[in-house]
Amino acid sequence: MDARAEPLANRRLRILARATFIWGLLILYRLVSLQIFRHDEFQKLAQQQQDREVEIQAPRGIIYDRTRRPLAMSLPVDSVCINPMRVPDLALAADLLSRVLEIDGDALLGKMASAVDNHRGFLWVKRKITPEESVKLRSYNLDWVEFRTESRRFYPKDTVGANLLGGVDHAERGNAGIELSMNEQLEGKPGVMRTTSDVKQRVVDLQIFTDPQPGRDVTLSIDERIQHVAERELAIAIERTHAKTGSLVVMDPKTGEVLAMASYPSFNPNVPPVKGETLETRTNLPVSSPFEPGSVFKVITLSAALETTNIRPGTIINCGNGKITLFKRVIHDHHSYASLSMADVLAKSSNIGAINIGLRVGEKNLYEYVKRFGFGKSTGIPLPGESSGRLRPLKQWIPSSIGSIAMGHELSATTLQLAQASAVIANGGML
Amino acid sequence: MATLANIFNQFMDAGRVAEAAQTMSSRVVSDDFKLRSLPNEDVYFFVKRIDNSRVVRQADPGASAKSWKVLGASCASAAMLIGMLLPSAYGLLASYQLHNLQAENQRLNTARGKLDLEEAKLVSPERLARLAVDQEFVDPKSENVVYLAPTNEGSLALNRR
Repeated sequence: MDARAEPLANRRLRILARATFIWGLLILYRLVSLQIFRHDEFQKLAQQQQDREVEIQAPRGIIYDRTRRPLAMSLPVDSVCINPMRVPDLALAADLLSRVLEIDGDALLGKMASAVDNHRGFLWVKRKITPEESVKLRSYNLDWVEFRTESRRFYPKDTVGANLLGGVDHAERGNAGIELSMNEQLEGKPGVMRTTSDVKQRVVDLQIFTDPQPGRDVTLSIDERIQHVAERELAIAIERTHAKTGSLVVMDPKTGEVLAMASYPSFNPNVPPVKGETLETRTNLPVSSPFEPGSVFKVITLSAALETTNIRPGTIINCGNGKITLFKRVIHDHHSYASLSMADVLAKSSNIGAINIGLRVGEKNLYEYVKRFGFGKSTGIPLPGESSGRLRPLKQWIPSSIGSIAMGHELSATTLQLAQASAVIANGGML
Repeated sequence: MATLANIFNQFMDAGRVAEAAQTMSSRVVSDDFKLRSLPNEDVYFFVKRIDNSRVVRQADPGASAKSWKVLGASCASAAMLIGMLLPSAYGLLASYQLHNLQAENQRLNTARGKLDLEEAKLVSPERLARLAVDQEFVDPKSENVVYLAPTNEGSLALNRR
């Protein structure tokens, strides 16, 4: 052996041993520091990283028609968000996301730049994307893109019953129609759970504090087939008459159940409203838009006459040859009739005949019967924005009011009120 | 250091090895620029025939008991260790399984919801009406339509009762 090499090797060994010992001491000190002296601090940090309180979304209830066909239902979908601080190239990212998600790239780039400037670590890119968009974006495996599950409301029948069903906002709260009026039942209550995740973000433990209460399903009296036919026929009638709007109610007179409620114009609730869009298309006209009923109201006048006078369907009514002067107001008929039977007054829709019958009924009786038929007050249907129509109190009537009201003027009613009043006639006088 | 060479030294002919070592060490020249010798490079290997056919291991009466004791202690320690770790390991695995099952449940519910939605779209009145037109179906004539009078219970289809 080399005489000088041995001491050098030994010295090296000693240095290595000492260094190892010091290294071991340092590790030991660090371990003691981490595990004992700073235990609470690091436990808190670990809990912040590993434990998360997560809201468990309660699924919104389904809206069915009377035959249990779904008219509105919710499904989980992906929403895309990013941490702009982690995006390596803003321009490239905005371009890519705008292409995949079909959004305005410049606007997105502006938002991302603003978020970076303000040191914001969260930005929604697009919420509730389609499954196709989700698959496409996931295929890029971008680590700075995060997917979050949200619930989206679907209306499988598109426009069928759209005005009646209404819609929901981005948080799935009803904002019109049945969705709004029955929101409390449909919404449910979200739950809360705490999850503990491992380093790969796999949940190793979860603790549910509050169970989510799913929203309750709602079954309507509406029949989707009748609803479809009603909407189709209403659209045909509107086109034929060149009217701007129209409404239609189909009601079972025996039970008072509404089988169909159609509005024109309508909309597709699956398509979110655009900026500047008028609310006209989304209004549920049969309950919220009162109008002067006109001649259809004569049936109320005549039924009041049958109840309060001795006039019967065969009784001859003076129709004044198409003209009557009522408290200095001259009223004309669309056709001149000298006289008509009560039944023919209804069949021919004679204004003068209806006025003469109304005069026989008298102001007080007519007012009372109009009220009993449900005019001037809301029907109580569980729909938002129901109008009660307009029926002036008796003391506000002017002398000629009886003539106007007898033929359906000087008052307003909704289509639903008219349907309800017609159902009374069809149901033998029972409301 | 218990290297193979050292162990060999202990068993081999020490005298011959020492002689050889002296011969080799005489070759060592103090020279700063010469590489130092490798450890045990002066060890010679000799092949010696050993006849151990007549060697018999002496029986140790306590060996079996000792072996069983060691074995038993090892097994007990292992069982205790496993017993201590098993609940937490089982809990961890169960948590993973539970999480997977919940995810599976959610996935299946979503899939069912999607199928329900698809079915609802397929049987929508608008689509059926469109299909009827495509298939050239016609509405029945009014004289061919029979209106059923409702029964007392209000049902239409079973009005024969």
